Amino acid sequence: MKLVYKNILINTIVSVCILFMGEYAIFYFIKSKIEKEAIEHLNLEGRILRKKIKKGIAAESFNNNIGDYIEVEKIIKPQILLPVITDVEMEEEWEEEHFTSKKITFDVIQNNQPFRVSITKTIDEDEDITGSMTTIFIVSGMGMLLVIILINYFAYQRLFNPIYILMREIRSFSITSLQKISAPPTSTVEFDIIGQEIGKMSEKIISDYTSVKEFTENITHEIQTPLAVINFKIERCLQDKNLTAEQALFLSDAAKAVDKLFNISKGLTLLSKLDNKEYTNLKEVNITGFLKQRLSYFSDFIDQKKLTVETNLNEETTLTVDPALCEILIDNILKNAIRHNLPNGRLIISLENKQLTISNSGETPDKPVEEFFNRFSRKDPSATLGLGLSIVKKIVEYYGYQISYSFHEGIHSVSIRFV
Amino acid sequence: MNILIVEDETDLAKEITSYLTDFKYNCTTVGLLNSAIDKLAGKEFAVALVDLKLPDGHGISLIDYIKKKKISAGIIVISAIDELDTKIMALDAGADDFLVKPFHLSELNARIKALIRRNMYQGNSIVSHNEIEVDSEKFLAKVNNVPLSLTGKEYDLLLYFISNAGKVITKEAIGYSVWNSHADMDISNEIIYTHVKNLRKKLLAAGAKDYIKSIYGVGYKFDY
Repeated sequence: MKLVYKNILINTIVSVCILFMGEYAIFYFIKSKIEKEAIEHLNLEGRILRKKIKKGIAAESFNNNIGDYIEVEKIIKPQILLPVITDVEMEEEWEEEHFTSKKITFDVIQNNQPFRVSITKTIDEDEDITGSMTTIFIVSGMGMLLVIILINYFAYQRLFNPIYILMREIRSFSITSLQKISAPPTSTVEFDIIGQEIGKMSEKIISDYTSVKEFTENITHEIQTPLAVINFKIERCLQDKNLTAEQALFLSDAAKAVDKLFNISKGLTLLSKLDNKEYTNLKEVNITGFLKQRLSYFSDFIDQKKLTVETNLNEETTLTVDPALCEILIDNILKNAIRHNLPNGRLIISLENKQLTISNSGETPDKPVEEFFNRFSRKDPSATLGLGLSIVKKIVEYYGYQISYSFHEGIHSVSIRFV
Repeated sequence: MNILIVEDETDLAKEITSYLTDFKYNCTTVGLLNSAIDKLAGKEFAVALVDLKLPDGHGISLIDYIKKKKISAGIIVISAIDELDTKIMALDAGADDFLVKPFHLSELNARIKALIRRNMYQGNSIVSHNEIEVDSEKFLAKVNNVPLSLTGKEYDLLLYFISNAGKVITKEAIGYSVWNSHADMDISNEIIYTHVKNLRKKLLAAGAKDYIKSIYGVGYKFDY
């Protein structure tokens, strides 16, 4: 939920709550005020009535059924000397309405005859009050709420504009473009600080990235020459006629280790170039023909292991890719399928509906198959580099294809969907 | 035969020189483009080995210079840059071959020989080694004038052996040269073994001497 809507929601909930609480508070306040008024009024009326009776106006003549309900009746003995106020519930049979009333009762003596006087005042405005109060409150409250929402909406849009601009900047930030995030100018201190800090962070990220990239490039390039020197020296030593068989083996092992270093640096360079999106040379490659060509290329290796090759390459499939990457992709999978195959095993290549599956018989994996895509994840570190499949995965991701690895009944399968 | 080595890494140049001298080449080493131009003016070279990244400029400009001045030297680029673009650029400029560092000296030697054969002995592409003769244009090998029936790989092997006769050649170098860059397969040793075995059998059957010596764990040596 957008911040502005969240804010409006909170404001609305709080406002509505306060509105209802306020309505109740004011309702009860006014109600008690009305009651108080009624009591005061009754007291005053009572005093006037008492005075009038004392002055000699016939007490019973005050009996009144309209307006304030006055009842004067003869009694035997005065009991209530001080006026008493009570609540009375009255049912009007013709209106089926329920009235709340206040009643003042006192005794008064006229010509030695005691009278009981009671004045009843109806406070029946409850519902009217509630009704009008609710209307007033809802109308004014809703009006207020609307104003709040509008203020929120427009003021927030305006206030938060720099943040939205910054968000767009962050979203479009690409490390390879080497463009730092520039914060929009704003008079809001907090946003200004956030913008500046993010700008600084992006600058730092770019400089770190650049130095790591330079480091990788330099190390892979600079490492070649010294390694070549080592290789040349080894080759020269191997020419020595006085070399013992053991020494020759040592030298040969050293040469193999150097070769491996070369290949690692080559593989890592490729991975970092893929990361940097440096492959932009696109060509139409007939993948079906290409697979056939690579298969014949690897025929010596396939024959050596006495593998049975089963192909389903009848469908012509064309991809728009960098041919160099395509070769690395196919070669790495094929090499893997040959290398990890069992002697006399099966090599199955099928290309159907834009899906390439290369399968080979092999041992049961000793770890989750997804891990085969990780760098330097391999069974026998001395035999292979452990970069092949991670390069495959990188290339597949580079072109937005999908890749999966599965193992089922002794068959390892790598599938790529060219979509 | 003269070879010009344009390489600023003296260690590398030294090793290249030492290997090539054994094959009766006369090597001149320079570390700068300018000195390369000086040397080219003074002597005729069969082949120039050109590194691309040099202290005073890019090797491509030297290739341009050689082509512009119509100097006859064949050009082999030796570079640590393993990029298709760079290779195409160098070959377009007029380089005859491109060897990515690190390479095996035996590979360099074989490539130099192949280049010299192409450039200098037009019409005479025969490489001979005592009773063995290889016609590199017709892809034909003969022992005592009797043609051998060799597979493509066996022919490549034989030519590679003869080019580096007398030197110990590692299996890695053979794998790289004959099976290209996929020699990193762990089964390549067996493949090399099988092919060498077959080649040897065919040579012996045709009456050639047993030139191929196996050096345990290392590789092979093709004797004189």
